[in-house]
Amino acid sequence: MLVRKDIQKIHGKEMSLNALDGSNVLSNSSFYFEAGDVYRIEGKQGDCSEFLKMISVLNTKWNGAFYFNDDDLNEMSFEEFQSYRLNLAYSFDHGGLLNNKSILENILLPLQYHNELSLEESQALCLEYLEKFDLIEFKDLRPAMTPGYVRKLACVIRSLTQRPQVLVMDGPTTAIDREKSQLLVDIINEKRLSGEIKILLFSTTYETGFEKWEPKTLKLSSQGIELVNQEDQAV
Amino acid sequence: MLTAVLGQFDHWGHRLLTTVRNFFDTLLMGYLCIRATINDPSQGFRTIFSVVSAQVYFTGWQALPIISTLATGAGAAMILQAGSQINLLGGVESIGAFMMVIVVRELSPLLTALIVVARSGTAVASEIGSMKVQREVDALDAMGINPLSYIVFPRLMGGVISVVCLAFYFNLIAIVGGYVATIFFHQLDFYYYIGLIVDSVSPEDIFLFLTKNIFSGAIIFLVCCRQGLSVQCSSHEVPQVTTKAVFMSIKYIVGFHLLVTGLFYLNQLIRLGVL
Repeated sequence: MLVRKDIQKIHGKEMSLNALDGSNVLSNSSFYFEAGDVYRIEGKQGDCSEFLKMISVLNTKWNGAFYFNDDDLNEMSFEEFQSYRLNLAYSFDHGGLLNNKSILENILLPLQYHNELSLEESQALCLEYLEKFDLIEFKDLRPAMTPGYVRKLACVIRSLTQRPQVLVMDGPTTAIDREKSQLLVDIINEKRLSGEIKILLFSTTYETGFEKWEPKTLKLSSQGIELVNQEDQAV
Repeated sequence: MLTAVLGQFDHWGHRLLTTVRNFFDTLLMGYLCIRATINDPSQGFRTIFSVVSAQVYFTGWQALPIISTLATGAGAAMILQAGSQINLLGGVESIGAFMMVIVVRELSPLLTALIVVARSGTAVASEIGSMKVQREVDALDAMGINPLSYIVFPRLMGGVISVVCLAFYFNLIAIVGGYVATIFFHQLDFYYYIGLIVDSVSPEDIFLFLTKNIFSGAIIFLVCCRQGLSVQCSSHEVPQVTTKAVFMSIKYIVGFHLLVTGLFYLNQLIRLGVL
């Protein structure tokens, strides 16, 4: 079984990043995230998603020096990165569920695949989350047969059940009602305070309720990455 | 005038380079998916087996009716033709060799491959293309599941197994079903006919049969998976890559079959001392 590697910091130097359409998201920018950091990422719509995908090592169209702890990603293969990957979870803004699997199977997939928990333990964990968010009735349905908020929550729940140290969320509460959003914020906050989640990065456009996470704000622009003053912050 | 000629050369050169790059990229993907599967300590036999068995069901089992129809037609046509030209071909004894050369060596690998391209190659290319658009491939990556070992390898394995089994089934139906279909037109004892076929089987036939079908299966599913994975983010790309996958698969299969057949007969000529 693969052993998880502790993630203490993620940093990049002089990094450039392109979106799928070739547009420039970052040019020669640097960033540094370490254990305990919570950042809200702001910027042009689409750019934040690309940046978060890059941090989750899903967008490969970047150049520059990119490190997990002190390991250079330019020199790591998929297999070598796996031990970090198990401690890194990403929640998509939309999509990201396998259409030929039910909601429960989707959430179970990473747990079953990596064999970190037994099938019974995995199922119990997934069902516990589904119950918390009142999604039990959808567990055996395929994503296409469920409402948008169920798909969104399933994606978020899947990233939580992976028990990551680094959680990257693209619009975590989009399409979710206020009550469930608050529950989600509380669950993540609990994991953050207990030290289970060490680095939390998220982007959001208009949703509120993230004050509990005490996030700092990073603004992406063509000039680079800029830390927004705490006083100017409106979370 | 000179500019136009040079332009044409540029065009051909570009097409040649693209074809060569596509070919080596496809080979590389084949190697990487096998490597990823071997290197992945998490991916158990159970995960692979469930996708391989699904692929065998869709590609192999569900294609049996159309293969049966095609094989019966091809077998019947062969037997009727052989029957009418039997004196030119060297008497009724040559019917077994005739069936072996035309059906087992050439027709069954080619027709089976074409049916699999049309049925399953298109399905695989469009399925993987849709998975890319729906970010399912990104999701696998995010979960630490290598798409090459989770998506490509089981389809490749299932595809190769299916093509070999379908081609074997094609041979059986073409030989037996073709005979039964022509029973009213042709007076030939069934056991005598089967004896002729069995006598004409040589190790070369088995080698050719396996080589052509194993590689056809690999070509179809590698090309179609690669085309599916080449989709970027828009669903309008899915039909485009599907069409391209069919075209490329057929091109590679026909080229490969011609190459193998050519080498085989060249070897025969060398062994006979003609060359």
